[in-house]
Amino acid sequence: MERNFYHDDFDELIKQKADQYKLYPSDKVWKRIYSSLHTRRRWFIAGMALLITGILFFAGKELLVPETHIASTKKQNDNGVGLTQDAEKDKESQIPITPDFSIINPEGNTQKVKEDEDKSDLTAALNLLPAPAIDNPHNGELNGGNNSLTNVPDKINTGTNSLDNSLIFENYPLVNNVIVSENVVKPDLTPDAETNQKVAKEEMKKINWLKENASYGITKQPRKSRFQLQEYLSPTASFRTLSGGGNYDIPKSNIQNIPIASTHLGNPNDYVDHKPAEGLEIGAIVAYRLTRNIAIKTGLQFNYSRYTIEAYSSYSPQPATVTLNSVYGFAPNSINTYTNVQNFGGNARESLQNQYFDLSAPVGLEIKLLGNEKLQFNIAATIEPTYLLNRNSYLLATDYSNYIKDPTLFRRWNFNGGIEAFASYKIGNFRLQLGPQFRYQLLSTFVGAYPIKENLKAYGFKIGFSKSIW
Amino acid sequence: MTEEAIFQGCLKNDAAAQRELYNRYSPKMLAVCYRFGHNREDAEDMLQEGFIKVFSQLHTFQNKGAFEGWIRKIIVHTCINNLKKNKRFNESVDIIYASTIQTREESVPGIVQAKQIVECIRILPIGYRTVLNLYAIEGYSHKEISEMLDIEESTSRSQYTRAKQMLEDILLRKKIIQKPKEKIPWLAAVK
Repeated sequence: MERNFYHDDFDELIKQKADQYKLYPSDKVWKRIYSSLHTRRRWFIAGMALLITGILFFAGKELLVPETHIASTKKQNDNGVGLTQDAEKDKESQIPITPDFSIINPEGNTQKVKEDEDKSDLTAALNLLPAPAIDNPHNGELNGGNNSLTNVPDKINTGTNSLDNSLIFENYPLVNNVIVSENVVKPDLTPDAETNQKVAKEEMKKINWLKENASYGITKQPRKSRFQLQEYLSPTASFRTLSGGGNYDIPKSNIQNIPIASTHLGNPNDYVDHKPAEGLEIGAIVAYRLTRNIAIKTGLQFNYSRYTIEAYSSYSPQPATVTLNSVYGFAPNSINTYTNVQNFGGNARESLQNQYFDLSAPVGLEIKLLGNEKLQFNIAATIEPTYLLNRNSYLLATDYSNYIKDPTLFRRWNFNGGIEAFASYKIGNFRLQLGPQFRYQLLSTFVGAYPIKENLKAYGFKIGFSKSIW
Repeated sequence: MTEEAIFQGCLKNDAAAQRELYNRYSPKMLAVCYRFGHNREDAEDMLQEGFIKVFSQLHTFQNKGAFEGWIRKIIVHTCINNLKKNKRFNESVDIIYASTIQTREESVPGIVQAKQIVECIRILPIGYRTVLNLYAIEGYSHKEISEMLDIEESTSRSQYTRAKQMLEDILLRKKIIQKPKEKIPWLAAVK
C-alpha cells in the first residue's frame, strides 16, 4: 500500500509517518527539568542549611576549643608599666636575701659560707680548710655596706689547719629569690676576676629585673564586660510575595450560592501591580559575649513596612467577595462587601499604600568572622516573634478583581527571620556597625482562612552603635 | 489524572503533575526535536529547554486550541532558536552538501516504518530538513517560515522543493517507496 503512491500523497505520507514516530527520553532529561523548575526552593533550603551549619560549626569550635588569652607584657616592656617610677630606686631597697658565698681554696675545695654568719662561724669554717696558706696581696679587710663581712685577719691560725689571708670568694648564682644588693662586699681582686664579677653582676641585674617585673610590676587590667548594648536604625526597601489563591475548596452544592470567578486561578503575583516602598527598622539589642567570637543577643525592634499597589478607583461601589477556606468541611464562609477600589480597571488610576507597624523581639546569634580589636567583620541571624501594632492595608478579593479592607483577616502575631552581615569599627568607647540585612516574614500576614498568602520582606542597610555595659 | 487536573497541578508547581504532563507528551516531542537536531543528545537538550519553557509559561495558555498543539509550538520554536544559534541557514551551503550525499540501495520490509522516514529526513542538509519539517509536518506557511528563520519567502519555497525532491530520491534509492508505474496507453488497449 505504501509502496504505491502519487506525488500528491507524498506530503501526506511524510506527515503521517513523522507524527507516528515516538522516542523515549532518558531519565536525566526529567531530572534536569525538575532541578531547573525547583531551583529556587533548593537554593533557599541550601542557603539556610549552609547558614545554620556555619553558625553551628563556629559555635561548636568556639565552645569546645576556645582561644586562650596570653597576657601581654608588651605594654609593660614599653614604658616599664608595672614598674613605678621609683621602682628603679627601690630595687635596692628590696628585702635582700642573704647570698650564699663559697670559699675556694687553691686546691679547689669549696665550702659555702653564709655572709651573715658570725665571725666565729666563719672562722670556724675557715679553720676547716686545709693549708697551704696563700699570700693575700690586699691583706684582706673586706668592707661593704650592710652586707659586709667581718674583718678577716691576714692569717688564721687554726691549729692543724691554717689558712692565710688568701681567700677567694665567689658569688654563686642566686637561689630562692635571692636579691643581691649592689653594695655587695667587694674583695680586692685581680683585674680579670673583677671583669668576671662585673659580668656576673650584670646577669644578676637582668634576672632580678625580670623577677621584679614579673612578680611585682604587673598592674591589674580592668576586666572587659561581656554585655554590649546596641542601638541601630535601618532604612529598608520593603515588599511582599503573594502565593496561594484559587485553592479554596467549595462544595459543588454551594456553587450556585456563592459568586465564583473561576477565570483567574493562577499565581496572584501575576494579577497585581505592586512595587516596593521605603520602610524603617529601629531597635535596641543587648548582646552577651559567650566566647571571643560568638555572642547571643536579644532586644526590641520597631518595624515599619510598606509597599505600593497600583489599582483603579470607581465612582460607584462594586460588590466584592472574599471566600474563606473551609476548615471543618462545612460550607465555606465568605465576606461580602462593597468597594470603590478595583484591580483590573476603573474610572481612574489610584496608588494604594499598604502599611504595617509592628514590634518584634529579635533573638539570635552574632559571630565574628575576622578582624581585630579595631575592625571586625561579623554575621548575625535572628528569629523575631512579632506583634502587629497597627496597619493600614488593602486585601485582594479572592476573584482578584477588587481590593477591600477587613481588619479581622490580619494575623496579630507572626514570626520573622533576619540575617545580616556587618563591619564594626571601634571609635573610642563605641563601635560603629554598618552592613546589609534581610528580613523575611515566615507566616502569612493574613489568617489561615484567607486563601491568599502574603509574606513581607525587607532589604535594608543597618547603621548602629554599640557599647560595653556593666 | 485528567488533563485539567494535570494542568491545574502544574500551575501550582506540583511536581507530580509536572511529571505526568512530561510523561504524556515527551515521547512525541522528542521525536519532533530529533527531526530538527543533529543527534539524540541535541534532541534531548532541546526537549529539556522546551519543557522548561512550557512549565514556566503555562499560565499564558488560554484554552484556545489543543494543549498538545500549544506544547508542540513551544518545542518547535525552541528547536528553531537552537538551530539559529548554531547554524545559519545557507542555501548555497545546503546545495553543495546535498550534492555530496550518497545513499545505498537497501531492501526494506513491505511496511514503511515511521522510523525509516524520520531517519531519511535527518539525512537531508539542515536547511532543507528544517524547512521540510516546518512546512510538510508542522504545517507552517512559507511566510511564517521565512519570519522564523530570517530568510526570504522564495528561499523557503525553493528549499522545500529541493528538500522534497531529495527525500523522494533517498526513499526511492532505499526502496522504502516505489514510484507509481506509468500507464502505457497502447498496452491498455491490447489488454
